[in-house]
Amino acid sequence: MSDHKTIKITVLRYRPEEEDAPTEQTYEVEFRDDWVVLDALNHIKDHIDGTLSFRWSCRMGVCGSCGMMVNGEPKLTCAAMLRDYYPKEVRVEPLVNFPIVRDLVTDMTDFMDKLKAVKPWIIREEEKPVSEGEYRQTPDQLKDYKQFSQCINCMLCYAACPVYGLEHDFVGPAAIALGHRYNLDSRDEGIQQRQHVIASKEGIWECTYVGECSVVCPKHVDPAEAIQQTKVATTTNRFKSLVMPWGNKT
Amino acid sequence: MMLDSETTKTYTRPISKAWWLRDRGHFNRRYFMFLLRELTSVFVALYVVLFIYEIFLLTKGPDAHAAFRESLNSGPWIAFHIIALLFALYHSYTWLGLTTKMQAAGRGLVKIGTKTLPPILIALGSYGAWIVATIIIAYLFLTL
Amino acid sequence: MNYKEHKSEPFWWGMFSQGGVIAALLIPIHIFLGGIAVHLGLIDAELMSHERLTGLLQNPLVKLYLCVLLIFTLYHAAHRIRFTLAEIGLHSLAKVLPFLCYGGALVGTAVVLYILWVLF
Repeated sequence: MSDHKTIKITVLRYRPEEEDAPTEQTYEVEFRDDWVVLDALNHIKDHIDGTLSFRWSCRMGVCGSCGMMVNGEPKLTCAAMLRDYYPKEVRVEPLVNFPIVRDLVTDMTDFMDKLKAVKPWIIREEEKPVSEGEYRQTPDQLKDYKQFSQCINCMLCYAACPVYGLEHDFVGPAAIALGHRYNLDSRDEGIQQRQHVIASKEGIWECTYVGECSVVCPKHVDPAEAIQQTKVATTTNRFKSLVMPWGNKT
Repeated sequence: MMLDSETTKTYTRPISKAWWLRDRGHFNRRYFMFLLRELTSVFVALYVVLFIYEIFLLTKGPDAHAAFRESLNSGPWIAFHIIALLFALYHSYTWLGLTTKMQAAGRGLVKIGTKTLPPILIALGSYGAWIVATIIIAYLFLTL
Repeated sequence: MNYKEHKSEPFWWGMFSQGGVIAALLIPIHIFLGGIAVHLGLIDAELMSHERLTGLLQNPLVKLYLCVLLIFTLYHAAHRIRFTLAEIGLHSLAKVLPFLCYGGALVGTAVVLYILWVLF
């Protein structure tokens, strides 16, 4: 039954108590046609080397935990089929642009801070009492932001973004796209509370539209376009307020 | 996972200096094409400066301008213009494509009533405008 | 991180994107006509002669057209060059580059206006 095909998996390892810089380790695992890279990593951990560390949870592209560099590209390892690489070897590295904590585990504190800064929740000037019912929305209003709401915070877009690699203060693709998502929501009134973050020097103006964030996004959120749309809207409003300083700032 | 940066020894691999050629050991073709796209601006700038210089020479009389035109009529300068044209065309292609992409994401840019205008119309509009503008300028230049 | 809405970036970006549209629509045909076609003999060399071009420039609409074409594309190029230089290794100069690049575009604006509306 088994035809003994194998595939080489090279992993970038970092054990801070033993070494000052990452090293490589190659494992040879059985190749199975229906395995994803994450299956191979779990096989290594269970049967070959229990010290290998990595994050994962749902195995179905929803939790956003298993993002890693696979042959140089940011991928959800639960969605990267081994057969797409076989018979070549697969190189697995931690997401770039983030500090490595151990092996394939990175520190996501920076992203979490930025996510919080854009206030990705519905903001109302005044909450209406529950007795008055829900905030209603038409299907067309839902369509305005739905694509941008699909983000699973997997941070592949930050690993894909050379601007973030060069300038760590950049608010970054996912956080700006999520801020944009709430700004576009007909129930939200919080744009003024996000604008100082989104339209800061570290926000949209840092982006040069490399566009790689949208290429790697497993949920097709298209953060690059979210940022461009925000630039257009912010610029239009700025010129409007220059021409008509008495007008309403929105 | 939130970390105490005082007690955790993390390691960061910095982005490569020439990241558009090779970033942390890997080549990404799209990074390279991005750099080419950004470089279009250098050729646009060079061409515009040359254009301004020619208008300036027009104020210096026919001889000065004729000498300038004569020097442009040479292999290297024609080669420069051909390369500049290729970059300018790449700029047009990427720039006009961008408006279509923006229209295709989420709310898009242009809404008619409650509906987002189909991106294909933006594509036809922007590439169409390019063709029309090109024809108008060529026609005016040749006939005015 | 203490974020603050940036007041001048929208202005520069607005000029950049207007210039980007103008460059996309108009620059290729200009390069082709004046830099290639005339030298390859595809169009009459007389079209680029001193007499012909100064004649065209008597028309204020032509002058206005050239102002829009040349000035906006300068800001377009200045903005892109600013970010490209930072991205290919001059990141440490990120604070100086806007002054250099937009300064160049401002000087270019003055030069274009001076040549077209004072010298002509």
